[in-house]
Amino acid sequence: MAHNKLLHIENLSVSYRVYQGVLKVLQEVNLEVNRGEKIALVGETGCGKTTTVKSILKILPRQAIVNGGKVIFKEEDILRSGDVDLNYLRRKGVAMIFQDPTASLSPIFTVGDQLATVIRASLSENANSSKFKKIDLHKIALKALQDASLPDPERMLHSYPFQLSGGMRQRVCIAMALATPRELLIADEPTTNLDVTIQDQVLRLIKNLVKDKDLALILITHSLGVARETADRIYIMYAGSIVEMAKTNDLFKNPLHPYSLALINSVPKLTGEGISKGIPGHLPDYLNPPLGCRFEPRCSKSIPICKKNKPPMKEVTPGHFVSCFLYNSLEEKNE
Amino acid sequence: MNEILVVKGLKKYFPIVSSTLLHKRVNYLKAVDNISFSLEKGEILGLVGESGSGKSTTAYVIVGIYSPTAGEILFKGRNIGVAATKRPLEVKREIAIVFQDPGTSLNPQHNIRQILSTPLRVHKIVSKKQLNSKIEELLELVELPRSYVYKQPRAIGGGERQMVAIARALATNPSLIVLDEPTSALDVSVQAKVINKLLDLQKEFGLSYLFITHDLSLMRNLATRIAIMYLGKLNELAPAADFFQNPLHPYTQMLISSVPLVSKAEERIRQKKIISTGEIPSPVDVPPGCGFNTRCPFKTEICLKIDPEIVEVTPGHYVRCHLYQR
Amino acid sequence: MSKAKDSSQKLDNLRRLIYKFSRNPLSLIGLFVVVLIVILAIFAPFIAPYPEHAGSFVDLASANIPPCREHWFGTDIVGRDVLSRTIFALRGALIMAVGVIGIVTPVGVIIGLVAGYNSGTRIDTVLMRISDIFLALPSLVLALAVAAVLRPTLFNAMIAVCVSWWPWYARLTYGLASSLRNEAFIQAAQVIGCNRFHIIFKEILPNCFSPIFTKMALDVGWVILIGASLSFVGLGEQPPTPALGTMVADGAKYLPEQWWISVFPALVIVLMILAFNLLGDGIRDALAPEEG
Repeated sequence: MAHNKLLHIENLSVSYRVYQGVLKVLQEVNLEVNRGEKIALVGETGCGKTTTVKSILKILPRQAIVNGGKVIFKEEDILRSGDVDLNYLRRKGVAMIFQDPTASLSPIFTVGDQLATVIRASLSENANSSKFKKIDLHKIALKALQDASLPDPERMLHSYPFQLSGGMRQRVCIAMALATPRELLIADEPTTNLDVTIQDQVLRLIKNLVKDKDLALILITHSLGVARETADRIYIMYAGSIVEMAKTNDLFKNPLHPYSLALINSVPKLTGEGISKGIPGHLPDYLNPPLGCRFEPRCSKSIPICKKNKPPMKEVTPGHFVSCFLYNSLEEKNE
Repeated sequence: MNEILVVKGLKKYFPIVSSTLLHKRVNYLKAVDNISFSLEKGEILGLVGESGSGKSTTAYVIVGIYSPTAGEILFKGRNIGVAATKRPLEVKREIAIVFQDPGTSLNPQHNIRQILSTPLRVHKIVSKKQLNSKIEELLELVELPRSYVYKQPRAIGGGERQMVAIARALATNPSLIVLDEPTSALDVSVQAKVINKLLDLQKEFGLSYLFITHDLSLMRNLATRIAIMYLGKLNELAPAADFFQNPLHPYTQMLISSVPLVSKAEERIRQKKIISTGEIPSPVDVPPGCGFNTRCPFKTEICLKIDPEIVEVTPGHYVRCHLYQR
Repeated sequence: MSKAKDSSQKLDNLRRLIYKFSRNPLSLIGLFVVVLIVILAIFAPFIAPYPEHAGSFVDLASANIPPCREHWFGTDIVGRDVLSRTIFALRGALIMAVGVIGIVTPVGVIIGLVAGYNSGTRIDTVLMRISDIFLALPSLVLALAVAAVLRPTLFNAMIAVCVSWWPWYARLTYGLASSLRNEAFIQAAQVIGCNRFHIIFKEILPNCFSPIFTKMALDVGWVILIGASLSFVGLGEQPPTPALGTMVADGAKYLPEQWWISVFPALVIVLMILAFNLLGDGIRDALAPEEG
């Protein structure tokens, strides 16, 4: 049963209930990951990327409402799954690492204990569940730490998170995520809190592990540079919608959406071209978002139709999709 | 000369006392360990380093949050190397700081009017009658609407909060502003706006900036000169263009190699690529010899024993590394 | 123009507090009962059916009447209406609560702020060890001792409770102040050149209000309880002024036949404490920092 398409998010819409009303954040988000593929979801603060990814594991906060859409993992719709399927997903299907490794690790248990907990939970679907030989757990834990390039794994098992540096803690999180076989790794800004030289090491580690274990990777980041060096395909997200998707090289060679272009220009370059002016305006108010394209108020190239309708996603060149009326002639809109 | 700030032999050690009943031991966390540099009037000096490098501690000692363990800090020729509480008021008027996180550097219980009027009142910049118009003037300077006066920091976005922090720094007409990673917590499009504003203000008021950051690409486009710190010491100091055309110190090369880039043109610019390995040692436990010897691909025997001295390799380009000792 | 914006901002903040408070119906019940108690206490002479019974009054013909239409709570052994006396007794309880908390809060908070600002220095050590000493004194026992030495009056009972209560506020504020001490906005204030007075009272204190107010509301119940305990053993207000604890003590001898003399005042004590606790919980929810 070789499914090539591992994960498919289809027309996902999510809102949040707050004191003032409802925040209509995600709007019909579409995203696909195939086996062995590395994709990046790039966007700035508040664009909805974390919401998207939390829907995959169904760990949205209680104020969240799913207004529509499906999250299909290997032909099962996660949003409508029961607990059994959900547990399978969380224990064997998908692994996730988060931005802050210090918050992801419990301060009162050793690395070894936390690894053991994860491994046990992940393997407990098998027949002889409750009787795990201690030696097996130990071996698996050691291997996980070695795979994550952690020095002196034996001693690491007995260490507490506070004794480790930020980079090492993140490696421990990676070890925990990949200790047992998985199919998809989701990394939510895994290196944002790390130093630049450590970030480089951790990203290389993630890339190597993904290749060695034949995983698919969804990398969430606000850094275009990180996305470019890690992913095969990139999704650019703005205010709850995907505005552009393309293979990495295509995106940087030929960014189509005005937001993508402005974002790439805002990044300071080593070639010393000076600082760009940034993007005027700010994120729309999710309580009362614009009816048409959500980027329109800040867009220098907007045309009248942008205010009225949401631009549909269109494939401009093979594999390069954009959601913008600049690339959508009016006749097609009237379908 | 035209130097507004001169730092000589600056040290800041934090004592860490570990004691048992019988024996008390004091270790020192050498956050800043003998650094010297100067800042010219009107220039932007980029102080670059990663965590544990001592760059933020340097900034805090300069503005007086900490008092130095040793060394001199000369501001306009005058030694100000004491904690802020002991400095004369005129000196405090002239030096301002912008912190990294505007969420914690602005009092969450105050509104913007209170935040901006604090420095104005302390230094009696304007009379009570003129207070309101001065506050409006400051908001205009950073392009924030006047209606923000009664808002609290949590009601506005991160970039705008940082603008308030900048407006507060400008309130007393300082000559030196220390900026501790002011845009690291901001999105890249917001960062561009804030940096542009900082550049405009610098030109308009002739300000000097000591800019602390870990973002080399930003410094490439912003700084006049760049200094790199590692484990409390200065490794390299050079004008921005020289720095990137000819990075001398292996750590500098490692840093530049690790920056994730967005274009092939940038990749061509960096010539010597050193793959990053290892981690920075703890400043409590600095290895003997050159602090970088645990990760340096070019280390030799002498690097393990002797800490190198700073040398000027080409005019204005200083480096502290045995590869360049004559 | 801008003053109007300020008031509209403050109004908006107030509305938000009210919304968060009223999300829990129990808090609203607490608020309602507390307001009722306060109104009863203030307007006691006009609301109580037999206001003169709150003083020296004897009517043996009407003694020991069980609860009925003329006397909702019955009458006691000298014929005084229990309901009216209970309503008047509320006054003493509230005065005690307001008085104690009104004194203890400023004293404790100021000491805690000064110690917290100077955290790590000798001032901190001295102030906090002094507060620890007072903390070790149990309020009730201390109050008894004080009453034994001085005359037993409401005022002296209040003094006794104050002496042992202030360290809790000092501790609470010390914890808040010493952790706020190292926040960036305090460092910013130092760099700007603000003096210590400004930093302690204008920068640190406003960030301590929420936990302090919450504690104040929850403490009212405790102080009332201690006040009732003191008057139960005969300290506190002396007869003929009605006090809840005294009424419970007096009626205890006549349980279980004339149960109403003890039980109603006791129930009122319970109700008051419960109401203030619910109110305090509501205030804590309203002032708690919002998530996400």
